Amino acid sequence: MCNPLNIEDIDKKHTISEDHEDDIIDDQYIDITNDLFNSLSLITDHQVVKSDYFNLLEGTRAIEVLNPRLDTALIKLQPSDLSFNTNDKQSIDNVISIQNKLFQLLMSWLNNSSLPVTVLSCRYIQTLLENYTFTRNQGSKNLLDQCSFKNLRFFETKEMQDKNQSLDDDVEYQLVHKVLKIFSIAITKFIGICITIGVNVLYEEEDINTRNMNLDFLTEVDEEIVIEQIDQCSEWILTLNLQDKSDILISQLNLSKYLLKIVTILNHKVNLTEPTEDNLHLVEFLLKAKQIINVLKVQDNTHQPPSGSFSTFIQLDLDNKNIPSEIYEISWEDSWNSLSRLFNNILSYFKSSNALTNHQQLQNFLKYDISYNIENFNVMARGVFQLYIIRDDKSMFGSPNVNLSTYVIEEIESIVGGNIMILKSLQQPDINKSILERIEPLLQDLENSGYHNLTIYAQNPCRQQQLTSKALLLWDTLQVSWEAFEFEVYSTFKIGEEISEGVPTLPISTFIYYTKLNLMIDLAMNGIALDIYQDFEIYVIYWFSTYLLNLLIELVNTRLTSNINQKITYIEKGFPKKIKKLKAGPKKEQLKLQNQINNQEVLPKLIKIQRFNHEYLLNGWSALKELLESVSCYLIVLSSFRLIPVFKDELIFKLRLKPWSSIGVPNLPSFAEYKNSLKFDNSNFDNTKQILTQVKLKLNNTLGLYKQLIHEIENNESFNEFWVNNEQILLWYHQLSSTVKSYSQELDQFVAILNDNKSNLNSLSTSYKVQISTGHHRHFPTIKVIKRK
Amino acid sequence: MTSNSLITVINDLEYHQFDVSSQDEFNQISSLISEHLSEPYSIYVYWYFLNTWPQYCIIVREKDHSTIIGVIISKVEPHRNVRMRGYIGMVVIEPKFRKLGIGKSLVKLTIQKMIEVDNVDEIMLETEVINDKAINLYQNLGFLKVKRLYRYYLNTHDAFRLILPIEEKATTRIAFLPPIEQA
Repeated sequence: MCNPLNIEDIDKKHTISEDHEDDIIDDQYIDITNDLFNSLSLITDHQVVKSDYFNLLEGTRAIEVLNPRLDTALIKLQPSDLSFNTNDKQSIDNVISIQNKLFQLLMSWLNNSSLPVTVLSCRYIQTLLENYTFTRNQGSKNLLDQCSFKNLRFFETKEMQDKNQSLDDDVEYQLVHKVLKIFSIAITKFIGICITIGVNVLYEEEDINTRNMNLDFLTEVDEEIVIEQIDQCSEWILTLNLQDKSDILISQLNLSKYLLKIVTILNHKVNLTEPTEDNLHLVEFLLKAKQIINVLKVQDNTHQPPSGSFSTFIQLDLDNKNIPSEIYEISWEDSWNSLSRLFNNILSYFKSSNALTNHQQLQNFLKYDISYNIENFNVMARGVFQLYIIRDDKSMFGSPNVNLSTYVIEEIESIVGGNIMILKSLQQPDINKSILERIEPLLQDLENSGYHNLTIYAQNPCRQQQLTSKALLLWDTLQVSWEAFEFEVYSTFKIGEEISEGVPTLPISTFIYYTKLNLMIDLAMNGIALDIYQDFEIYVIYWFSTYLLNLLIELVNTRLTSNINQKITYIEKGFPKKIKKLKAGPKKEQLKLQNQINNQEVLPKLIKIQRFNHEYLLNGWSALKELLESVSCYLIVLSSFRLIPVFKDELIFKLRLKPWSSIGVPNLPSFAEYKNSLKFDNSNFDNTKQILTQVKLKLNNTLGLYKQLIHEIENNESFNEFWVNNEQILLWYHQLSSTVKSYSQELDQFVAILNDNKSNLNSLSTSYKVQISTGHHRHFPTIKVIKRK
Repeated sequence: MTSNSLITVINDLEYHQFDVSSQDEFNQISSLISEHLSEPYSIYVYWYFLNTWPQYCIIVREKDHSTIIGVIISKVEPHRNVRMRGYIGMVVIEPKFRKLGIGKSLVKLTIQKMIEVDNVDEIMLETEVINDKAINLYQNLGFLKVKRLYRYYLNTHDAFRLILPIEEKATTRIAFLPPIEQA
């Protein structure tokens, strides 16, 4: 084996020494032939000469000189690509088709492609950016002058210059230098905005490719100036007699303007504690954009842009870290749909977020409208959402009332109820210094973990899974540190609520445990949506999820419910008694005031939590538990007939459960427990049939639970305080309902197969097999027993 | 081709270890991969693997033929300094020799060698989510899909990361493992 030779070592030994004056050929060039060969002599066979900073990842992206698949210098251009002059006038049809193509390539770029093979393949954009880079520091402050279409590499004779000047009144010349120019500036500026968002909140290459060929995408240009120029240009178009084509030009310009306006939603402040007043006028442009798209997508698109206006020219012309590629273009229809989705997604979350008034609504919005719906989001809508939800000043949705710190406290209170003594003690002037010193970093850890969770919702589905896995570590560590702290503070200072005499409730740790269990279940079940598991693994995931769900239901049913009930009783009875016992005076008045706050603010929130937990959450979880148990039982029976395999190797079993392996509480089930859970004696046909009949009854019961839940969601008006828009939640439960019906049918078919093969059940697996395919719900595939071919 | 490079013969096909001094083998391997894998690799990638881990490059030839019809390229390195991880980088079989179990044999030989020579804790690889044949091959050998990687390939397809656990260490999260030196 040989070690890579460090290229810097060679450089150090063979730099061109100052005393090699003979090597200097002229002012510009130095003869390095000898140095090169001397350097080469240092390289022995089978050594890879590279910089320490050049790793495999760099290597896989390296450009190899003279390899046609990797060397962009070998790209063959057409004569029209070389001679295309962006300074020339163009017909109105050409300008319209160029602008359409730019929309198409913009959306192609946002469909996980790179700039050189999409928008930068447009010679107008390249020329504009090259000129901007060259001229922005050279005097002219006028944006339109800086972004000239004059191609500096084409030599202009005096005659040509005079000719061009005389074109100032030529409409086709102005269509290029007025209309197409400001349109190109707007598209370029929008790309610059996307790059900034991509770099900050999205994942490079997974979500977006921000490599910019060292071009500055007008980062210092204020979008307001561009918008102003667009409006002026639209007015100019109206002065021309272009018939219906002026409408198209103006629509295209307006659409480019609306792209730039997207970021204005980041200045909008959402209340979060009460509905934000009607702000739809602020996003009227999103609606208008959708209308324009509907018009533009049905226009005649047979006219093609002029030859050479889009090409691979830039790939071999400018600094390029990409390999040679053809221009990447999604279809006409897909690009307009994608653009429409961008505006639609933003409008949708803008409207929903403005209606939010409480934490339950916020959590349901983040879970169902954003996270579970994320595959229907345009990548830039995802990026903007991330910035929209957590602003630069750490406020949530720009709310004047809620920032990251208060959000986390509110989240805790929305689960375990308000008036948490350990948090209230922070406001006491006589708080023990040692508590204060220790609680601050713990609260910071809590805030950081809360922030981490908030960054999960708008990520791509694969990243969501990875971030959820990371969250398990964070929340498990939090639970350990908070449990120790809360217990110590209770033991030492008697600060903290009690379940019973001498038994603390540890509210923050309870909240952490609640959050962690939810994350653990999400991680397990979302793996099904990502197709991570093989057929034989589905059972273990349902079995494990049922175990976790049982713990969660128990936690809410017992610890959380009794904790909140205690708080309610205290506010309703205990606190007034306490006031009654006091003599009149300032302390009594102070407690009276507190009593008023308790009744007006704290109590309604506590009652709401109880209602949310018992009327919605627990009903949903109970139905899910029934479903999971039914399918698990069905899978156990199938595996007993060897129709579906099971984990045979403990190491593989442990690898599957690795993401949860470090969790202290709850315990990870063992391989022995898993194997034990699969035990089923199928030798007695009637017994097997009876078990399957019970599964069928359980499924019927589950269906009833889902129907009831759907009915409540649709009709119970008081449920509206749990969400601002029930569309996605209803879809979720309708899909689960369809899943139950489907399993019921699959079970019937299996029972029929068993009946038909009663005498030959031992060899059932030789004639039949299980087919697992996409089901009605992301977490539940169809599980069918079919005849082998 | 040297006779001592011969690893085994299966179904009249010879499995050899790559000869690091053979320019011809290097050229044949890079051409075979370049022709049949969708991702284009620079010469550096080949040099990186073949020079650093020549023992983990196995080539396949028909008996008495000099043309390489299949190749597997792999490496073994410590992963985050806590686990010894084998990585299967590329497996390519000339189309007309596919469905003969050559890929499976190459992977099995590599796994065996990684365990014997480097005591690997786990073996890892990535494959396109739509490549059912490859996924089945690896899953049948005990690999488990552990991660889905969003738009991992240039063609925008997602990838699955698969792992074959060899030792208990493969089932423990990185943060809970001691550094290799101290283990």
